[in-house]
Formats: sequence, structure tokens, C-alpha cells
Amino acid sequence: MGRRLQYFSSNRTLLQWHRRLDSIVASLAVWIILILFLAPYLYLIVWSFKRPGDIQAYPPRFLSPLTVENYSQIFADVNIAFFLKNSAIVAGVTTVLSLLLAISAAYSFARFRFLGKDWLAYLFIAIMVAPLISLVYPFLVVANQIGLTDTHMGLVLFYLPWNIPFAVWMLRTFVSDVPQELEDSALVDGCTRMGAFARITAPLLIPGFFTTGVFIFIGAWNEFVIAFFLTSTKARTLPTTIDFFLTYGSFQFAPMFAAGVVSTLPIVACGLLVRRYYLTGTTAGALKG
Amino acid sequence: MESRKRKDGNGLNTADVIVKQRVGGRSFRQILPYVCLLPAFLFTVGVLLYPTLKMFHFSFLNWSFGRGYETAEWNGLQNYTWLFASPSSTLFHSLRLTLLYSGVSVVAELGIGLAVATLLNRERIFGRVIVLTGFMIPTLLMPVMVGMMWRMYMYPNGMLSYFLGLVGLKINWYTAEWAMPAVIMIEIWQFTPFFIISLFAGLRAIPDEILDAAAVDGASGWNRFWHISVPYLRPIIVVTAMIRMLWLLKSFDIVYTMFTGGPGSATEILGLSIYRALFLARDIGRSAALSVILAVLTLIVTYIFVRFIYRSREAMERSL
Repeated sequence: MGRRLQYFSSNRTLLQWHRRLDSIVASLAVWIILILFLAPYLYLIVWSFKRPGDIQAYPPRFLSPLTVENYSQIFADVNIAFFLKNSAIVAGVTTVLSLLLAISAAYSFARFRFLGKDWLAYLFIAIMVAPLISLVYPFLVVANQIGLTDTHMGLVLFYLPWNIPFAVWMLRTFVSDVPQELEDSALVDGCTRMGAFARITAPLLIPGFFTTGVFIFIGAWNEFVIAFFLTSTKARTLPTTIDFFLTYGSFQFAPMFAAGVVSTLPIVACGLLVRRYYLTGTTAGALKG
Repeated sequence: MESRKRKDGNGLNTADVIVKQRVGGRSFRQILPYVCLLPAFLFTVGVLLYPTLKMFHFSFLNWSFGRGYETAEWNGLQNYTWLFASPSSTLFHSLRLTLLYSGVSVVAELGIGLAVATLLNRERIFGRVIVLTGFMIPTLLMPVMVGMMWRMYMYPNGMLSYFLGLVGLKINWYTAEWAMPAVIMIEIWQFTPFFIISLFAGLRAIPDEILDAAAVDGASGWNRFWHISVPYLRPIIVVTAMIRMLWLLKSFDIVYTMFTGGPGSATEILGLSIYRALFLARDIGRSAALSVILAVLTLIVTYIFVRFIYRSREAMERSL
């Protein structure tokens, strides 16, 4: 306030005052919108620490005492740690395999010209967007035939077709961003194409691998449809555990809040890790195609 | 191949020449791109081919869920004709709901997203990076849990009902009338931030000189927005809307956890009708036929958008 008055008293132009006001109003508006968008999730986090009796109270008890009772309940009764572990295994393996299987294709799309390139790119895009729910029953039949129902490998196998095209699509732009001249000079110095890739391009792609990997991990962690149909006990992942709290009309609010936080918070943390690339990743990945 | 390259006007680059000399033949250089595609190709097309063929196959069968494959009978096109012609078929109802659901969501998200992104692009915003980071959070949340969360909030004694009650609104979301608006609202809540972030990035990418030049020429703020920013943003708008549209067409999670297609069939979008045909009507054939219809619909939308991207990119390149 003092500084603003100073601007006035030192007789600065009206334009400057106008700019200042504009920035304050716009900032305030943006922050209010952000808080509105985050409020439901923040509410979930705060309420997950409330006692079961207070959670369903109406009107909401904003100042009731906090407890970790709900968390100890989901870890003890529902054994959510087991599902956390399953989710981590499936998402982790999917991520690593997708990246490994996609990189050479991404390189091919970024660096070579070849017959049918556009059509193969279309094919990958078409696969990436193919609706999961359409293929769930055939997947179930196939998984039964080859004995992959309710296994981690079964889930991973059926996650790959969606994540590999995504990885190709993302990594291609990262490969394109590495100047061709760097590889060319390595080739001139006597490297093979493979060696040039391994020594020059691959190290520069680490941010690209990381970013793409985090996006794949988030997708696989959050995936519900395939996991819901293909797992029952041994390989069951987090998203399918909602059933536990939804038993025939009696809806258990308290553990639900805690389970919601446990299953989303690691992903939010992952997302914040690639904050800088969320922008470049989504826009560059989408635009250059 | 060779003449194609010359037509493109780029000719051979150094790397091509060197590889050609090194390996000493055209053949390896020609198949190398395809060899590189092989691992990705095997684990996508290879995994999907058989189940996809099965999906088509099942759509021609009369086969009840839970009964052995030997009970299945060849049914010809009857599943499709039933879906399109029978008065008890919910296909057109589902199609209408799917288009309503995805259309309203995309348009609302785009509108709000553009407005907030423009606001964020003002000269000085306090904590812009923090705001952008914050907007990422809803888009990362597990859709099933988002559905579950809102389900709890929308109960008569839930948080949303309380806050709506404060402003005098009393909505029973669990009615046929309000179920669809409820799920659309959840979609808008979760994915408007996606539009905000990507459109903001697009706005940032507009060179300052262009806007400044327009300002010097006397264009008003609204004119600059409408005649420079929006055309410039068009590719980003299309791509973002495309990605969203495709997510929405095949969406299942949120609607499933909120209402499982109900009450009645008020939220029975295509994904849900596939599920219901399989587990409620226990009809594998019809469910597979619906799956084929959804897959074709998705492909058509993808194709249109991909064509559009290529066109708008060419237009951009020409204009530059």
C-alpha cells in the first residue's frame, strides 16, 4: 500500500497505476480460480484426517480434531499396501518396457525418410486412441487362453499397445530436438550409427525418457478398465479397490477418503517432478505430430 | 525413393551418404527404418491384432456371457441390424448421450480454458509458475477416485450439497435429470486445467513483436486477441480438443463409478452400454457389435482431426 501511494505522490503516469491495478486484479482472479479448482481435492485430503463420525456430519465440521485412524484402517483391514505394491510393479514394468521398445521406432520416425512413413504414423496414432473398453472382453478371452489372467505380466502385456505409440510419439519429438549434426560429426569420426546414437544422442535424451516415462507411469497407475476385468486377487491394482468401500448400499466414507488420498498423492508428486516438462511434453508432443 | 527425395527438395543429407558408403549398399539403408520400427510394431500390432479380430468375430455371434464357446452360434449381421433397428436397442440413445457428453465437455473446457489462459498471460501475475503447477493437479488424479470423490460430495449430506445449499440451490444429482450434468461437470472440473496449461503455452509462443506491431497500428485488445492470438492458437486448440474428444468418446471410469450408466439409462454413454450389454444383458455378440461401432467412431474422429492438423500446419507454413 505504501509503495502504491508513493507511486501516486511521485506523480507517475496514470498508465503505470493502471498496469499495477491490472496485475493485481488479474492475479487475484487467477488465484481464486485456482483455489476453486483445487478445493475438492484439498477437501479430500483434509477430511481424510477426520474421525469417521465427523466425516459424514452435516453441515460439515470444519474444525473437528484430526486423526490418522482412517489410514491405519485401510492399511490394516483392506491391506492397501498390497495393492499399492501391485500398482507400482505393473506401472513400473510398463514404463520401462514401453520406453525400451519405443525408442528405436521414435528414432526411425525422427531421422529417416521412408516409404509409407505417414501411414505407419497414422497406424500408431490410431492404435494409441483405440478405445480400451471395446477390447476388454477379447482381452479376457485371450488372457484366459494363455493363462495370463490375474497376473502382473498379463496387465503389462495389454498396457503396452497403448503406451508404446505414446512413447514413440513423445520420444520422436525429443530425438528431433537433438541436432542431426551432432550425430553426423560422430559418424564422420568413425562411429557406427548405433555408436553415434548410444554415445551422442542417448545421453541427451535422458530428460525425454524421464518425461515420457512419468507420463506412462501415471497412465498405467490410473488405468481402471483393463485392471478391473483382468485381475481378481493376486495382481489387483489400486483403482479396482474402490469396490471394497462400495458394498451393497453401505458406503464407507472414512476409509474411502483415505484410500483416495493414498492412491492419488504419489501421482501428484510424480507430476510435480516433471512440472517443467508437463508444458513442453504435452504441447511439443502434440504439436509436432 | 530417390526421385521422391529430390521432389521433396532436400536431397540426401550427410548421414545418409556416410551410411551408404559404410555399409556399401542401398538395401540395408532402405530396410533400416523398418527394422527400427519392428520392436514397437510387434508389441502393439502384434498384441492387438488377435483380440481385434476376435472383437469382429464375436460381433457376428449369438453367444451368452458365462456360457461356453461351443454354445455360440453364427448370427450374421443380426446383432448390427438389431442394434440399428430394434425399438428396444439403446444404440441411438447412447450415441446421442456420448456426443452430448463429449461435445458439451470439450466446448466448456475450451471456453473456460481460453479465458483463464488469457488471464494468466497478463503482463504480471504473482506466482504464475505456482498457479500453473497447481492447475496440473486435477488432471493427474485417478479418474476412478475422482468419480468416487464427487460421488461422496454429491450425496445429500455431502460437501457440494452443503455449499450449493449456502447459495440456496438444492439439487438432487441422483436423478435422471441431473446425472448427466453431474458427470459433465466432473469432467469439466478435471480437465479444464489441461486446456488452461496447453493454451497458455500457446499464448506464450506468440511472438511479442506481432502483438506489439498490431498495438502500434492501433488494434484494440479484443481485436488483437481475436485476429492474432486465436488464429495463432488454432493448431493448439485443435490438437488439445482432439486429444480431449478422443478421451471423452471412450470414457468409462468416471461415469462407471458415479452412476454405472444409471439412473435408468440416463448416463449410458457408449462405453457403458458395451459394459451393460456384456454384464447386464449378458450378450457377448451385441456387446462386441457396440465395441466395433465405438472403435469405428473413434477412428473416424481421429482421421478427421489428423487431416485437419496436417491442413492447418500446411496453412501455417504457407503463411509464414
